[in-house]
Amino acid sequence: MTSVNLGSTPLIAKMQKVGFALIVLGALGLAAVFITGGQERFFADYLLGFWFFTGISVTMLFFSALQYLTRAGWSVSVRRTAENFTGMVPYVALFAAPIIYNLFSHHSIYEWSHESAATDHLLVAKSGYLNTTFFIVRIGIYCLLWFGMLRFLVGNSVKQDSNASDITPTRKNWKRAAPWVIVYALSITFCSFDLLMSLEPHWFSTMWGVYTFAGHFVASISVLALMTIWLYKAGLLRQYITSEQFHDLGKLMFAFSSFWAYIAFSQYFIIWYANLPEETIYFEFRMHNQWEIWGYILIVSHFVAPFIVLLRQDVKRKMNFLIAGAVIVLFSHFVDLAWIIIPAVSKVAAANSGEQFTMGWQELTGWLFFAGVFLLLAVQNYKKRSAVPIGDPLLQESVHYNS
Amino acid sequence: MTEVQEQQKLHADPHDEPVREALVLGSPTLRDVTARIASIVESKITAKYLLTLMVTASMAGWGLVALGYTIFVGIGVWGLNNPVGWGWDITNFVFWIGIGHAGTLISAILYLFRQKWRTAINRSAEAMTIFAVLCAMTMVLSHTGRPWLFYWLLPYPNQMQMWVNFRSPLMWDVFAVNTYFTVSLMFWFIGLIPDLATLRNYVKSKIAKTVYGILSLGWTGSNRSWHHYEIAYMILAGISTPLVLSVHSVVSMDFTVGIMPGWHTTIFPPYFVAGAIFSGFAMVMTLLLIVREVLDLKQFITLKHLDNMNRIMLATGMMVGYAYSMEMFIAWYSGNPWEKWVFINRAFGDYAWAYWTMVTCNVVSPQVFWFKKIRRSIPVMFVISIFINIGMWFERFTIIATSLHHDFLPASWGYYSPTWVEISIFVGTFGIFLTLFLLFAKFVPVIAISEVKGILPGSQPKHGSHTEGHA
Repeated sequence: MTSVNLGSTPLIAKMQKVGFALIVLGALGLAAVFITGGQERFFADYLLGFWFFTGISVTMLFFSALQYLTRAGWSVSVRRTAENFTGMVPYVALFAAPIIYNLFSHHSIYEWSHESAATDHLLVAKSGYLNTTFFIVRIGIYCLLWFGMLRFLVGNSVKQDSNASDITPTRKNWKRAAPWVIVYALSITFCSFDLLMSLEPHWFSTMWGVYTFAGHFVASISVLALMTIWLYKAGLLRQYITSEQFHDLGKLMFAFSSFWAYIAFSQYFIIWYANLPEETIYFEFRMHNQWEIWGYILIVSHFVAPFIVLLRQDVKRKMNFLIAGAVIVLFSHFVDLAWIIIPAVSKVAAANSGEQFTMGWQELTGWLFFAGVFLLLAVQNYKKRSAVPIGDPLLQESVHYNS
Repeated sequence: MTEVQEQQKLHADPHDEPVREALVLGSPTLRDVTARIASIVESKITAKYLLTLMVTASMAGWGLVALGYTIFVGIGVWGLNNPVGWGWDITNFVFWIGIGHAGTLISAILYLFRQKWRTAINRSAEAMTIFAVLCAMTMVLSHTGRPWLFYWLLPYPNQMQMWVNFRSPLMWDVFAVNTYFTVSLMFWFIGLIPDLATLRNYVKSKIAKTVYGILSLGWTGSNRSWHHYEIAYMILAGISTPLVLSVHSVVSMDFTVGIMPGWHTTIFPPYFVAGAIFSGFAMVMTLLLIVREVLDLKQFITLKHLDNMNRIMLATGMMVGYAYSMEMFIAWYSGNPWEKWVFINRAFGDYAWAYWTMVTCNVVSPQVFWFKKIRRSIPVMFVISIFINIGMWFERFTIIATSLHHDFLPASWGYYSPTWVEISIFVGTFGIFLTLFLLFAKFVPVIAISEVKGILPGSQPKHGSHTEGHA
């Protein structure tokens, strides 16, 4: 079989154009926020976009690792799509630089990096973990780990393309996928502690890592489903993708939006029921000041809507329903992260400069910018390599299986 | 190169494992499968079997004596005290409920994930689920103190105008466990119907024929029956899947909605679920290794199956380890002195021995499964599976006893150790569990005959020219 390079197809060219447009639009928007909304809001929106797409990119790596770990056959023909959307991984450090710069300014969105933290008893107690040096070191470690994961897993996956008769690269991935899954689990947990949970440094939840993972995973599956559908609708990869892959992606979207709901509910419920001040503060703040509407939206859009849309067996094989499901999930993932980040930063901004804000168009700017980056870097990958892992020993199983 | 050639090339190299290992060895025919498994039911009851049954039944009997003593005299015969108001009773309850998780995971979730290797082990795992939940119910009922008033736990209109307290997690347990038991039983039974019909046709004794005939509900094996059966099975799998998560999540809420340091932490629901699957697999492994040996089922329960189960144990063991570390990390990160103190006390206090037993058995011991050789070594996996059973029991004990024994005031500190009554009841639950399992292994097909037939090479349709089945 020959390599399937889609680099010169109209779809990829269009993606590139859209990517550029989004970057320009997002950058202009971010600039407008910087000027009109203040630095705190700018960095909050930046972080929102940055973590939305970094989380998905890294989780795409995890998806690939998981397929190798479980020797999955069904997913081989869509696995490369996931691997192509990891384009942001080598540049995470670069994109994290503004957040680190922000730590040292007077407008830092992280309360623990303020001078006033020295007089806060609890923040002093936590300063062993929450201090700027260690924060930067940790971010650096995550970047290195993720880069290593990318080089190893995607590297071997691509190497397999050139020679189908020698499956050594696939074997390497089969063998080493498990340790990379552990690396992913720990790095995504601690990174979400650092970037998100420490926005409210007095608050804590042991569930946090699982909670953010659930969101990233279902969002990644949605991106994967959307791209697979676009490819299919553009008449590409039709000999590799069957309705079985759509069905399976739909099942995963359904399962993991419910999983997210399970985790989110458990976390909320346990904190609500116990009603301890140091924990309820997180939800208490988000249940007032007009933040609550986003909480209600989350219940509907992150759980009820995908559940209803994707429940039936036949709709998981219908592309338009899958698109609807995926768009709902991605919207919800955005609201989820915004509901975490924006209220926290608005509190900090109020303390810094007395300016409080609620959700507005501004919150979309960082997302648009990084959506562009995310698409462009995926386009680069589509130009570089085959869009299907043609040398994979399980590819035929993926093409021919019937559930 | 075509796919078939490629497969052949892979198989040709003796040092290469084939991409997909066969799940049934010795390529039996459909008839062979039926004959092999039905012969277990048809064979004569041996003296060895009876002896084993007598031992387990005596254990159960002794447990029932201790239970009767508890009911007659009261819970004062246990070692519970103030502040340790929950001891072996709840530990054993959570332990048995946990054991009951592998069955439904294997039968429901692995079914939805199309894991064909589940077919050899799902039947016995589901049976264990049901028996384990029965043991759990025994434990939790005896702990109520007046088990003859168990119906007070159910919300029904009554002349006393008494209503259950829906705000109590113990109440949620009643619903969660009963739902789980009912659905698991239905799922197990529905899965059994085609096999019971096979037995009905196979056995010679008239009584057995009648009993299997009644139980198989007039199954004819027609296309229409199979169609309905598959739909029912799928729906039950769909219903059971959230139940696997919900039951142990509700059990975890017995602890976590309270505000005890060491109990109240948000990760408990998924952590308990992972632990339950972990312990359930360990118990399935322990018993299956014996069954496989005694009934000579190596053809169906292959090393590949055991390898996969060991992988799942490694994975869930790591999840449990993740939860332990998150608890520890957040106890430190939270800056809450009570939280911090409880965890230091767990690791270095009066119950340090229990804590380190738990860590060694649950987190350290499964690490040997990183090596393929060990994942396929029967003696090692047998020992490790027992370690895990022990470790998971100690996990629940650690959570319950260490969090309770040092109350907020040093004046209300205590230490808990069980009396002979509690130990006897625990031994008794093992007796009940093993007795039921022995009866099951003799009178019910231990392997899902019809499902195993479905994964034999050539039984599934393939597309186009790829007729040479690859398992």
